[in-house]
Amino acid sequence: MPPRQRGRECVAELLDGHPSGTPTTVLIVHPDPRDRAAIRAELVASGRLRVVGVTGDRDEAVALAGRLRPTVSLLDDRVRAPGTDLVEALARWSLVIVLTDATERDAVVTLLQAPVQGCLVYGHIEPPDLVRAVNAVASGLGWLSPSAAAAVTWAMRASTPRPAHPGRGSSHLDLP
Amino acid sequence: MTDVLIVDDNPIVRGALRGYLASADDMNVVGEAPDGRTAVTVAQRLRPDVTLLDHRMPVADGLTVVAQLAEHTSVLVLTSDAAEDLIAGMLRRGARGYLVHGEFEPPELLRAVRAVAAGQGWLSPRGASVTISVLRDQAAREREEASQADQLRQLRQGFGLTSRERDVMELLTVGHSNAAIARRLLLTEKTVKNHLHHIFTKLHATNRTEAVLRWSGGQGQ
Repeated sequence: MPPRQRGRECVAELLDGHPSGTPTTVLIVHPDPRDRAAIRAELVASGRLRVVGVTGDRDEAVALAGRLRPTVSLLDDRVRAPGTDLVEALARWSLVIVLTDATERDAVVTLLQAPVQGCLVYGHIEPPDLVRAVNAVASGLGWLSPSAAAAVTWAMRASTPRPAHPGRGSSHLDLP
Repeated sequence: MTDVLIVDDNPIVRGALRGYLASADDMNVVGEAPDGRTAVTVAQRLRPDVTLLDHRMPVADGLTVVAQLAEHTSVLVLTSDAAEDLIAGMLRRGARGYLVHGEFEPPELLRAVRAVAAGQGWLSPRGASVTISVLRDQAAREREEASQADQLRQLRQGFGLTSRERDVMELLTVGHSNAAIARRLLLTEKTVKNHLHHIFTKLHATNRTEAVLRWSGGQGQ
């Protein structure tokens, strides 16, 4: 078996949280205490993930991220930081997965302009997804729920040749 | 029931996929194809809900036929090739999902097929990461281009040319002679020269080349 093939089997194992050296640490940033507890329980149950911080407060989230340097931060996008960009702040210290209600294609594509590695959309999250998303992102890859994947594949199709200015075509390239 | 077409040059892979899909109550494998060209013919005829498409195949590879296939069916790429260009190319040409062999467990294949059949998408971790970064780079490039175009617009406004002078300047920029400019704008050559004189003064230019350079945002002395 060629080495690349073996590498990919490792990815599949990684997603399920098989042994991979140092444990992955996670910060949970979510406004609802019960959901926070549920997410924590699910991650902990995987046996390979360590939840190092849990908060619903944006300032505390940034402080915790800076202090604990979690591998991955799970951020519910209802936790907002007016004036500052919470995603940017968290992304300085960890890899960010955003949890959202957004299903509109434009909203999801806009959300992914921020430095996030994954997007889990409520209503499309099946039991193993949370853990697999964290493991995928921790191993340097990404994770998108089906509706988010639909949004980005749509954006990719629309991006031939240039997406952001649909009405404008490529006329701005004609500038002398 | 979800009708599925399996496209892969390896009969063992096709057989394994067929066997696995057949174990799900809601999947119906309607056909198989060993290469891209056959796949297009079969997809045209059977219009399966979902087509599992490999990339490296004889006759016509996946990337070559994905756009044609996408006209008749929702394409879910299933390949061991995870190069960034290939992932981006497949998605730009119409694939609804991208699965990399070895990055998923069998149940995920069913979820992916169901998601794509339902109009959603499916990207395995590498596909997700490539797509996110391609879109983000592209948006950054577009912001940069937009801001450059904006700066140029402001710079040009700053020169304070009249609208006639702008017309002359634009033709000058694309390399027209005075005579050609005169013909285009229905002016005499003398009037064009006059306009150029004013333009040179406003742009602090001493000749045509320098004027064009300044009009394009250059710093020429």
